[in-house]
Amino acid sequence: MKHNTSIRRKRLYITILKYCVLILISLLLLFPFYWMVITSLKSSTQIFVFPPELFPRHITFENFTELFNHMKFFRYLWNSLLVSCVNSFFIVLISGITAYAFAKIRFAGRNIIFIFFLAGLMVPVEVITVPLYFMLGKIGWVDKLRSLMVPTIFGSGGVFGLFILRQFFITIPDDLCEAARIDGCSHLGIVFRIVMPMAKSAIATVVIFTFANCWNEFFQPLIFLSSQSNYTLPLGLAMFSDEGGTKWHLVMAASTLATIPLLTVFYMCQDKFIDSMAMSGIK
Amino acid sequence: MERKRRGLTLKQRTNLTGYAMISPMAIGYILFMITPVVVMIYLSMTSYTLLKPPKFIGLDNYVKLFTNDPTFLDTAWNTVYFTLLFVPLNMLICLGLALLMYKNFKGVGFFRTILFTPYVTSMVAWAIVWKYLFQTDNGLINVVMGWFGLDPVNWLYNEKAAIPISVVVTLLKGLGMNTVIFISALMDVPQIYYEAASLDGAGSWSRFKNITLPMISQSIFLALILTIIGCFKVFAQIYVMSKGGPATSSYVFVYYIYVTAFRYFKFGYASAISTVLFLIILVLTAIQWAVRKKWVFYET
Amino acid sequence: MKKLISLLLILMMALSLCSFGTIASAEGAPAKDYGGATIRVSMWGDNTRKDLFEGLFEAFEKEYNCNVEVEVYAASEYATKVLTETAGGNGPDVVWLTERYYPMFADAGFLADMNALMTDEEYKFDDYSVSLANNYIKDGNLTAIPFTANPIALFYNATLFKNAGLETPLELYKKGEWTVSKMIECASALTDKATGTYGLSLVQTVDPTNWPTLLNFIWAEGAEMFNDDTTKCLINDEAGIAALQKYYDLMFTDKTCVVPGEMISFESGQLAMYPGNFSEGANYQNVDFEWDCITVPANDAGELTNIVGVALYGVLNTSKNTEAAVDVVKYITGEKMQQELSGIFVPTRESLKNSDEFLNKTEKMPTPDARKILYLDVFAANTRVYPATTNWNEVNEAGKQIFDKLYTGNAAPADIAAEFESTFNALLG
Repeated sequence: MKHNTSIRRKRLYITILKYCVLILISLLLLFPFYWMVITSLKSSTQIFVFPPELFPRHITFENFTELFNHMKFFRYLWNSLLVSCVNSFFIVLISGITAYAFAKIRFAGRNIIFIFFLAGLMVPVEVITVPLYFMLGKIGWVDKLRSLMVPTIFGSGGVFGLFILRQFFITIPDDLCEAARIDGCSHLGIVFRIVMPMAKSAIATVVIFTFANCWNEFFQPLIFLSSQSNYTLPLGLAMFSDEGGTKWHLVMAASTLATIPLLTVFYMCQDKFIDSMAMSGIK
Repeated sequence: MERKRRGLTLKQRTNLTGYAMISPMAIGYILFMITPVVVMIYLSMTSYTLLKPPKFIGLDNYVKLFTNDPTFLDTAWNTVYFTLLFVPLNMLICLGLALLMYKNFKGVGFFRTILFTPYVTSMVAWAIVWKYLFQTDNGLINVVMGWFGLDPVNWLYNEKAAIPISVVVTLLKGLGMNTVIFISALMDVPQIYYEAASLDGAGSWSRFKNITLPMISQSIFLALILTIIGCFKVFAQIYVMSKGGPATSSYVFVYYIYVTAFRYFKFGYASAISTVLFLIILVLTAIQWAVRKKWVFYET
Repeated sequence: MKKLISLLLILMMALSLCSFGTIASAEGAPAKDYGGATIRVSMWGDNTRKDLFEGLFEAFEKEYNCNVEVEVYAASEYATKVLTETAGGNGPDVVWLTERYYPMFADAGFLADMNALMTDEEYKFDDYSVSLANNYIKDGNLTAIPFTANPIALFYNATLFKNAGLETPLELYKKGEWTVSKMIECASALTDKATGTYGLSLVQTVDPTNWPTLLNFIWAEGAEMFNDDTTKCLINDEAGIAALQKYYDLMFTDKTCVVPGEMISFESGQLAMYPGNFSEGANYQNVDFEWDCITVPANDAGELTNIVGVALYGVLNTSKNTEAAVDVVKYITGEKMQQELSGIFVPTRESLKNSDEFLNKTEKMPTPDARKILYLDVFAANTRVYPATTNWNEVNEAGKQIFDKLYTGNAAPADIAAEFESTFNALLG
């Protein structure tokens, strides 16, 4: 009996310790967000109060209205949304069709060709951005939003989609596809009517991963885009922070606005989100 | 059309269908993935600047890179330094967190979500907030240090602190990722092994060392390589927080590529740096794949 | 049949519109018709600026039947973007340049000549100060119009001076005592560790890495960073090392001068003096202390030299419509538009600069005295332009890295001077 209580007590201590560690880390990770939001609600004079107020006595939304004079927030939001949505849609569409071909059609050389595609996973975007810029300049695509779309759809993003979707399509029984063939369904018909509807969760993984990546991408927008009206959110935010300098109340307001949209989506479907992102790590 | 088709064998028809279906992706892939790599290697052997057309100069860029470019050496060292600090910390903390969290308990989903929140945030916003926290003048970190009687430190303008600070900022942002990977690896370890070990009277440390660690070593290794690759691609936090400075103390590969190409307009030289980075990542990925393949065979 | 009639109607309407157009412009100058061509103008700035300029170009668009598109880029990315676009055959027609980027564009042969403006009587090219405009006439060709030229303005917190019972820089200037030594004296009197107040910054607070601002100080100490045509570095001599040593001591021994990177802002009221752009005054209209600006001080012998930043209009010769582009420049740098813009950009046209309207502009701060000193006295004394080379970005970055070593306290001034010499000479040679 005595032995048992000591084990139980030990377990209790471990549990308490566990919660302490987790709460501490959570506070550390959430604090920057708190500080960002709080600072964005302070007036410009409150910023210089020493020591800074952890719980501001007055809050104001002036910063946000002032911000819209400096930064075309809604334009950036729209650009980010457009790039992320277009990329997600076309990656599912194009790599879906390609993945079906690799998974279900036994054409010659398909394994070798698939490995050729997979090799794309080895090439980080940062590495090919300089030559890509050179190429896009030649065809007049610099400072166009499609410079963030087409190379991603057929490059890193597409290859990732292809990989994930093919993995899943393989698990769909061949009989199902063959039965549809006998009923006179075309291959594309099978993709859209049978395979894709069955692969909802794999598609969700690809969409979430693509969307989040395109939404947060900074390097390519920085290099490919130049007009303010084409900026995506991270780019607009970085440029504003460069010029805003010590106007921290405005910079934090901009950061808050730039952070809210994706975090909202994240909190709405966190489990799917986390699983999808983790998939990319295991690829 | 119909007649032609009838002339083909079933095999040929299957091949044609297959090729037709992969062709859009294949063309795009060759244009936007393979061609840039070829163009990069070609440009790396030219003296192309935006103001002067490409001129072939053989391996001169590479010779200069390795023999006569102190900034490149600084860059390489900073990247290695970043990796050496970041990877062990990241691995240990994530493994620790995974061990705390892999068994179901009240609030596990909540903590997992919090851990993942910075990961979903854009690096630009995250780094800007940390830049504000690290301000010398009224930055919160210095204020807190003041409570303990410590003098304020000029964090952001300090050659010794530049890389460690970016490591901390990157670390806190990315904790969620590897933790989740380790949690799923830990959940895959069959419970029966632990039960058997318990019967043998093995302590928790010995169980961890003899059962858990070997069983999840594959995941650890894969995460390790991915994390190292991630270290070689660091950019946004450097751009936002230190712009490579002070001096060259936080120049990293991608930042140096950026500066060389888009500040100095030396596209040829930037392509040479890109090629070097490409080769490093290629080798790392090749190792990862080789090891994974071996393990996959081992398991079946 | 119906189609034919409507086609005829449209044709007639188009014709009548055209004739109205000619009638309308016949009253004014003989305007040209550019057939709806689009002229792209690139500048740095934000959307407020874009809206402002698009508004100003409306009249031009009507008169010349063309479409002027204003593109604004972030200042830090501006040169890169325009240069890459131009090299890619995709560039704008009209560009803003700073004196630092001018050689890059001129050397690459990107700038078209605007000689037509020199002889245009209506335009009054002579109104531009000769010494300034001459910098941009290459082989007899006018390649750029300097539309604004700003010396460094030293902003000071007058309240801090008054509270400490010190004479303000303006009072000292009027007595002819505004010298570097006096400035340092004031700075050390105003530095107060207890309140975290610094007496002085020698670089701009918004962009402390912009080291060419320091050239004023280096010159006042009798040293030179570069030779006249920026082909050689001259800092590694006795005067140069002494100047760097003095700067170092101000930062680390006396601690009266802000170490760049500390990010002390003027708005906070904790900085007594800093050098900046005159236009930054717009940011300080709501602060709770009195301030003003003045020129950087003279050297101890009383000789005043101030560095001048110039912004230029250029026409790119990759433009498909250089004639229209030159007309755009003519319009926007003409007397009328320059006057319109004089509240934002200090004009370079002598007639506007000397006008009462500019000098006595009603606003709380800076005072009219500041305007007179900065834009009349300084130009009458001695102005120098920023150094510039075709690879200026690289020189600038190298300079920034070496100054960083001084600011982090990791290298002695003598070593810094030697490093400047070897690094700069390698880049300039």
